[in-house]
Amino acid sequence: MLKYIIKRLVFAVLILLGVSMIIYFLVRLMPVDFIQDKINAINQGGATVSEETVNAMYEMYGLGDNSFMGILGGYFKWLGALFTFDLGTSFVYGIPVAQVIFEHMGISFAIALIATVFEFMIAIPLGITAATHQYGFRDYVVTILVMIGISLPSFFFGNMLKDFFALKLGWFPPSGLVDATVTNTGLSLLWDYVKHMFIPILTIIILSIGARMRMTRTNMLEVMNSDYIRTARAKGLRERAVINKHAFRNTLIPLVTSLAGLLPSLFSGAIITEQVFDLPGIGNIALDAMNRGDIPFIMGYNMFLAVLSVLGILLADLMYAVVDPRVKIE
Amino acid sequence: MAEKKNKGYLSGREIRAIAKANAKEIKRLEAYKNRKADESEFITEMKNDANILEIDGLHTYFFTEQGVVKAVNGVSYEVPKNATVGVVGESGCGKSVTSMSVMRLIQGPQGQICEGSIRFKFHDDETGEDKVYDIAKMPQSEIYRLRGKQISMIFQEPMTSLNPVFTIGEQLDEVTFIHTKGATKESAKARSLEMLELVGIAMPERVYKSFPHELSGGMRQRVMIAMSLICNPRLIIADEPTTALDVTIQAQILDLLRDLKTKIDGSILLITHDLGVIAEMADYVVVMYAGRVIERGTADEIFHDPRHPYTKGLQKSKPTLDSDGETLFNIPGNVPNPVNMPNHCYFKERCHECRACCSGEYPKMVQVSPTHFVACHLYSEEVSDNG
Repeated sequence: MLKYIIKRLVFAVLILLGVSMIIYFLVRLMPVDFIQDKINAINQGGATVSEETVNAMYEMYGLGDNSFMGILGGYFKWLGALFTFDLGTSFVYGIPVAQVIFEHMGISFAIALIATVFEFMIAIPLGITAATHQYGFRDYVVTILVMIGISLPSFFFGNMLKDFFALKLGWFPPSGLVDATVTNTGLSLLWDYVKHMFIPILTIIILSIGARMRMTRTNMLEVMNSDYIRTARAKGLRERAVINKHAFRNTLIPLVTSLAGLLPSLFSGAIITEQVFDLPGIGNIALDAMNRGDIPFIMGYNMFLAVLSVLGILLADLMYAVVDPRVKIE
Repeated sequence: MAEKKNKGYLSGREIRAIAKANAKEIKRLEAYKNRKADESEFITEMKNDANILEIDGLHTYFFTEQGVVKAVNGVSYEVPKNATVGVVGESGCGKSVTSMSVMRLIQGPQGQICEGSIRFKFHDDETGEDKVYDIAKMPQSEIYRLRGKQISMIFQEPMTSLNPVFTIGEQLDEVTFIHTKGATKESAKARSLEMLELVGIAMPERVYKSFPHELSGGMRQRVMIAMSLICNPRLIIADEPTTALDVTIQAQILDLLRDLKTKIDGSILLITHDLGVIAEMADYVVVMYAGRVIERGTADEIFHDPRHPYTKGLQKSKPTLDSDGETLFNIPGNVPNPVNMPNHCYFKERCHECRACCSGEYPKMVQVSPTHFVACHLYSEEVSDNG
């Protein structure tokens, strides 16, 4: 077991090296130039920047040489710093990348965690109901509703909810994370957070339930048609116990492993939803960084997600062994 | 071959008509199944008190998109106390569906018991009395009293019939917990271990802790048999218990079943398509064809004095060690399409003893000896000639 995990972690390091190299090259080839934008801004202010200063700036930011060897050199420089646990300094914010990620991750993580918990809590019972009443009224109602959920784009549905609940009814604030007009502390601050995050979380839940519910339904149907369910019924178990014990325990296998696979998405932030509701989450920050060519941040953010992805897959494999006694990890 | 009657394709209108009729019928039958009913509604009397199970005119239909498949179309047979009854017939003749009907395990809403009665002598633990219940009329909420306790079932597929995520012990103990009031963990485990030992498992403690995937097919079938024995059932239905096993294991399992007959106080309903198995095990034999019983009698009568041309054909198609022929005998032709069953004898097109009267109505059961019945015009003529 331990040997297996160590082996997987060694492979993970190799994968991450490859990933980092690809991301670095892609980022350097992006048609956004942070320095040029900065100089343009200075120029608009009326001042002129000499050619030498410009070149010095490129050198300072490590973007001077755009040839293949130059990019490769830049990559190894970044990698070397990484081994001293230094992700570099964000161009835009002027503070260490790790600090930027850390500061904005909390809000995104809170939203994603709450949304995921609700998603599973709602989608699994719905999926089971749909499966046990296959082709019945409940199945059709549930399926149609979640299909609507799957089909709606988040920017559209998020704005719709915002328009209805925040602007028309005025129940919730339309955007932001805190009410800037009052200073809240303690419980009232928490209540303020809840009010601001309600619609974004609702949007994410409604849009993500569909896929999870369909997955539960399909798995449940497969399990319900298996021979051991017939055996459970033949034992004299009541239908409710057949579903809740024998069938559900088997349906859980793919669900639990998919939960482990969700690890990166808990931290990545919901880029579009955060945009719509103007939340200072990491998704919003990442999009902004992308637009402004903040190379250290993009690298740090993407590598952070890559590490989580690799860990998530490893976790999913380990979870298999936990929930399915047939799987042995050697 | 009846492909002329078979249009093969259905028009949209026909499909809609079928769906509408099916939906109506399924709704009615489901409502009947889920109704609340007093015991007086399904309590009845046995025709013959020596029987433990009497199936009388059972019709089990499947409402499919192509039409109603009459998988069991008027089946009647009985299982006497402490006897082994073998049901033979080719694949799809309705022998398994009949046994599933007895357990009420037909997969709804498509599959439904439509007509007939299944009388079962129910032993009431509380009063110690025997009551006769009509399983076909019992509401779904009552059926749990029979399943696993009074009637238990051994399935064809030992490899997939055990839940992969629970240990053998958990699955065996569960039966005790369901049916025995005041069962404790220790008493359930003791009972499970006892049963494992009874079915000839050498290390019951170890098997008790194992997961199904850690056991071989033969072992799993032994576990299934042990599971079916836990509550001392009055009737064990063994639905092709040896089909999925290899030959040496088959012999072991059959030995075990035969052995059990002397140890338990109950009857066995053995369903198989293997005449050899029937010959070894059964006291009575029921031969089914296309959803109907065509012949039944004692094992001796069926094997030494078969009357129906189909039964004779079955006997001939059995491989024996001393047969010289290189190819096995087979009965020509196919079973008629289950959606559009003809009105005449279903075996007519394949029968080499077919006569003019065979185009008439489906033959009635004719009694040829006190225990031997056959549904064939060859014998009904004799009867009508005489009287």
